Amino acid sequence: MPVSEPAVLTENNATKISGDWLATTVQSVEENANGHALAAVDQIDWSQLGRVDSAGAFALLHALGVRDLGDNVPEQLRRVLDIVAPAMQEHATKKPRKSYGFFTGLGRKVVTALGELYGNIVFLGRSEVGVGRAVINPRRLRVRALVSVMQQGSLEALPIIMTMTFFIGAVVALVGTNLLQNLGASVFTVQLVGVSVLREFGVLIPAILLAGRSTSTFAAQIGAMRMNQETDAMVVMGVDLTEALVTPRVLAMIITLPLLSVAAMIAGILGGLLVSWASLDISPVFFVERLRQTVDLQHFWLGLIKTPVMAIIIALTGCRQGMAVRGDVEVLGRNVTTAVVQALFAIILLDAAFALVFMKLDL
Amino acid sequence: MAERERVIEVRDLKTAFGKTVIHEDLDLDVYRGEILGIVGASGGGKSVLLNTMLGLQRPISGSVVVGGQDIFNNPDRKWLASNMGVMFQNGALFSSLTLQENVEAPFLEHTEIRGEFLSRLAQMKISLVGLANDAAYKRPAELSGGMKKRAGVARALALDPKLLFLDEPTAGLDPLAAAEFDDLIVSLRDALELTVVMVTHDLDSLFQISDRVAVLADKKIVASDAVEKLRDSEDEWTRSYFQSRRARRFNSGGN
Repeated sequence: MPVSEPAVLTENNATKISGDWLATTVQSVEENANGHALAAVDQIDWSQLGRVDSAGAFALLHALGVRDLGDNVPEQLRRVLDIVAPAMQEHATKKPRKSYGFFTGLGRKVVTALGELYGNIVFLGRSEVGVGRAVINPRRLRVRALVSVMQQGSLEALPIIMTMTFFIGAVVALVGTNLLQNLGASVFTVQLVGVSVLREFGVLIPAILLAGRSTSTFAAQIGAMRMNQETDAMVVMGVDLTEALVTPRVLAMIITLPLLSVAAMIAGILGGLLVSWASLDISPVFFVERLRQTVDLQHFWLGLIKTPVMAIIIALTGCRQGMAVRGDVEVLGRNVTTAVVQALFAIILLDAAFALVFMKLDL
Repeated sequence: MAERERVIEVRDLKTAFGKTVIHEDLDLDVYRGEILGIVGASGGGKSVLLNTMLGLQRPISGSVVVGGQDIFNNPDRKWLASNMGVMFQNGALFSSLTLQENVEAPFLEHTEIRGEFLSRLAQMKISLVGLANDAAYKRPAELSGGMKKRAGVARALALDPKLLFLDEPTAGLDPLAAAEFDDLIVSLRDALELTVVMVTHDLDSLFQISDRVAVLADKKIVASDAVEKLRDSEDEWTRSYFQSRRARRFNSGGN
């Protein structure tokens, strides 16, 4: 159907309304609407009026600057006006402004941060109690949830973790070869690969990967359950949320992260071994022999001792941010991001702290 | 009955999820200007039918023609988008936008209206569905269930579509609010010449405002007629639905 432009014509004290007044056409009227000298509404000529929809009727009232068009309006316009006119307001409601002065804003931020900290401490305490209870009384443990998290969160991450550490081991060997060859000490490559993979990469890479993979999953799962009121239903049923949701995830991470780390260490050393074999002609047998002679077993244990702490961070940040979800999808997305960022930050920071402590202890 | 213009024609529709057949040989006509109720057993495929008419669910075979456009065969999408409005069961409001921005969204997408006029227009639409002014700047998460439904209608009606689909419009509303909602639908239909398709279980709504009711049972539309006539329908499920204890209080004359 062709559409004709809507218009208001004023000539010799007579006002004539013409055209189709539709949502898709009224913008042009709106732009030059002001200042029509209007004849009495009863004398408006409606004969050229086309179709009218509610946005059009609204624009018409707006353009004419009136709220009532008298009794002579055509039937179709009459019906639209009957529902539009009562709904019209004189002025647009202004958006309520929420702005604070500098100090008020700062104060609110501090209070929010302290509240967050308090919440974190409470959450940590509850989780400790929950995990402790499950350890003391294993019948409280939800084995199915635990096994399911172990499979989805950890077992399924095994291939990617091993691939990543394999390449990191290879890169360390490659870089080490280049540097150490200049010093005529290329045989130390074996030691370099062994120590760095056992102490750092074998632990850090799985932890970082799980911080991206599992922390976000936990936050999203628990957050979605909160939005769907599933957690409320559990509380009413008398289910302890920590016991049902947090404990299995924490325990699953504590159990599997050391295992993943060992797998990652094997993959990393394998990567180093292959590169050494290819570029330095160090045979695998000699590599392993050299590894046993020069790399002390304590490096392995020092790496492994960090894993439970990392595991707790991975699981708890995810669960905590998931539990904090209130309301809409926006909050869910923000909390998942926060969880991952916090977990990554804490892992790197703690790794640095461990390195310092170990150095001071001459380990 | 005189031959009236058909707005929606569903023919030989077959829908299935895997091996579960939802609809088979389903035919449905919707006429211009009517309020059509769709009833059926829970889990009987009412919402799937609604989604099929909206073009969200592709059927295995059969056709759905809306306003002359075959919606699964290269339709004019822009025309459909500005001529169909839908209110989903929980409003389906965009959660990152305020109520007002939700109502403005269709205008921004399909018209040139902008600025102050747009805000006022959106606020007019919001109060048209009976929501208070101060709700305009709230997020969907801050609204109650009934308010979300109304807001969903305000957004669905933004562009004055010819066709309004409502999924369980009165479910979860108190009787007063539900009655107001029914009145709102009728007055909007009369003023804007809407055609309304609503999936509902609310017998009050069916008896008060529907012109015809289509009964979905056994994977097809087994009956479609004015609600009073469906009590004496030949179809057994339809008869039992409209003669149920809950429906009996509407039986006028005490027969």
